[in-house]
Amino acid sequence: MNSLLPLATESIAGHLQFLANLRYQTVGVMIVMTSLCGLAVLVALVAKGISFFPTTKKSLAPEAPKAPVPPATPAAALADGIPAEIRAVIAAAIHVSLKSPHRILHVEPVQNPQLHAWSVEGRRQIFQSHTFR
Amino acid sequence: MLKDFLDFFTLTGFPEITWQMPVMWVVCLVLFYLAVYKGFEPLLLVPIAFGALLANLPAPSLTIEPPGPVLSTMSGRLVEWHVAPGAMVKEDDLLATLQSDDLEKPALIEFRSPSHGQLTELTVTPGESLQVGQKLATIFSKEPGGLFYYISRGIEWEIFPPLIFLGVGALTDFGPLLARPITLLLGAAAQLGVAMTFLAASFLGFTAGESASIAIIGGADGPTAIFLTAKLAPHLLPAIAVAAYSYMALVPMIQPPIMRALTTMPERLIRMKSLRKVSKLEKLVFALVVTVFCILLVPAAASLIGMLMLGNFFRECGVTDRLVKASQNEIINVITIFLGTSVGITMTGERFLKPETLLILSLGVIAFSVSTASGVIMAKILNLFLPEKINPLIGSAGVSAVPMAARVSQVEGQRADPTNFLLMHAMGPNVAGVIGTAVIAGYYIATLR
Repeated sequence: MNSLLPLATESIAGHLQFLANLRYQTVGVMIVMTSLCGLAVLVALVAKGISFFPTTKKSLAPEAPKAPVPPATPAAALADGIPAEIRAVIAAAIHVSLKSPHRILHVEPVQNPQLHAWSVEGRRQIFQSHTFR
Repeated sequence: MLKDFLDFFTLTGFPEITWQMPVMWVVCLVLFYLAVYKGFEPLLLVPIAFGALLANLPAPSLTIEPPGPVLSTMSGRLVEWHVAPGAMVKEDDLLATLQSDDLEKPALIEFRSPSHGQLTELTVTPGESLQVGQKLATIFSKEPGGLFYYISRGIEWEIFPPLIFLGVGALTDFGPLLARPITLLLGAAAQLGVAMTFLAASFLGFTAGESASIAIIGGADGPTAIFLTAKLAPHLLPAIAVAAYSYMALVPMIQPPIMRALTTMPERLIRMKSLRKVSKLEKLVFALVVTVFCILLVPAAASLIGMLMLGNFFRECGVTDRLVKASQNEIINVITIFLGTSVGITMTGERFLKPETLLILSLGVIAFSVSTASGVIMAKILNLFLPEKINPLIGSAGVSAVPMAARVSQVEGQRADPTNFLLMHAMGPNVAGVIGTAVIAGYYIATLR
C-alpha cells in the first residue's frame, strides 16, 4: 500500500499538470482566434469605409470635345470573328515584342472561352500579384 | 625527422576528432543530398548543412567567444571554483560548479569556459548567490572571438528572423486575404496543431519553454521557430530548425493524404468566386492596422510583426522601389546565408546526437499534420454558415509555409477538377498563417520567458 502512494501522488500531479497545460493552450488558441477574427472584422470595415470614397479623381480640366463615332466595322473585317482594329492591335503588339522579322499567318479566337476562363483568370491574378522588374 | 612529423601531427585537427564528428558528417551529407538533389528548401538547408559540417570539425577558433568578462547564464549559487586566478584556460574547460534555483534544471551544473586565455580575476566566492548575467570572472587574451561567434549574435540578439520577415513582407501580397478576410480564421485554426503539440511535448517530459519551441514547428514558419527557440530553448535550436525547414519542404508529401481523408469529392469540387480587386489604399491601411493591432495584442512579437509589415508597406506604397528590391533580394539573401550557417554551427554532435532530437522530429510531423487537419476542418465548419462556400482544400494552407502550402491546395484542387484554380484563394489563409504563428509565438514568449 505504501509503495503505491508515491505512484498515486505522481499520477495526480501529472494529471494536474496536464490540466494546467490544457488550460494554458486553450487560452492561447482563443487569443489567436479572437485576434485574427478581430482583424478580419477590422479589414472588412476598412474595405467598407474605403468603398465610400470615389476611386478616380475627376479631372479639373475642361472636358475635351468628343471624337466622332467611327462607322460600324464592315462585314468583311469580321469574317474570322476579329474586328480589324483588334487585328491591328495584335499585329502592333507582336511587332513590338518580336524584334526579328516575322509574319503573322493566322489569328484565331479561343475556341471554348468557358473551358479556359479559369486558367486565364488564374494567370491574370498571378501576374497581377507580381511586381515586374 | 619522424619526431618533427609526429609533433606536427599533434598540432593538426586529426587527434581532436571525436566519434560524434563522423556521424554528424553523415547527417550533413544527408542534408546536402536532400537540398541539392531533392530540392528540399535548398536556400536554407545548404547553409545549415555547411554550418553543421564546420561545427563538426575540430576548429574551435570558429565559434570561440572573445576574452573578457565571464557572465553567469543562470540564477542560483556558486558551489566551488575548479581553477585559480592566473590559470590559463581553454574553451570548454571546467571553471566552476553552480547550483541552479530553477526546479526544471538539474541541481548542480558544470560551468565551462566560453573562451581561452588567462583567468585574471574571480569576482564571486563559493556560497554566494548568482543572477543571470552577473560577472563571475575575467579572461584575458589578445586573440579576438571566432567568426561564427559574431555571426551568431544575429540569432541571439534577435536580429536575423525579423530581417527575414522584412523580406517576406516585401514579397507577400496580402490582396487575396483582404479580398476574403474570413480566410484569416483558417490561418488561426491551423495554430491548433501548435497547441496540441505543446501538450504532447509537455506530456513527454519537455519543459514549458522546450514544448513551446517544439510546438511552433507546426506553424511551418522557419524564422518564427528560430526566433521563439532562441528565446525559450536555445539548446534545442539545431534540431528544431532542421525539423522546421525539412518538414516545410515535405509539405507536398505530408498534407495531401490528410486533405483527401478529411474532404469528400463534392467538397473538393467547390469552385470559389473570383477574388475582387483590392485597392492600394486598402493594402496600405491593412499594413498599418495589423502593425498597431498585433503589437498592442502581443508586444513580444513586435519585431517580427513590425518588420513583416514594414516590408509589405514598402511593397504596396509604390514610392520605395529601391527599398523593396533590396528587401526582396539583397537583404533577405544575405541574412539567409548568415541565419542558415549560424543555425548549422550550433549542430555539434554533442547537442544533436541525442534521443530528444528524434522525439523533436516526430513531434514536428504531428504538429504539421494536426495544423493541416485543423485548417481543413475549420473550412468545413465555416461552410455550414457561409452562403458562398469555400473549398476546404484551401484550409490546409493555413500552415504558413508560403507559398508551398497554397501550391499544395492548388494541386489537390486540380486533381479533383483540372479547371479549378485555387492558388490565389489559398494564398489568403497562407499569409494569415504567418500572422497567426507570430501571434501564438508572441503569446508563448510573453507568458513563458
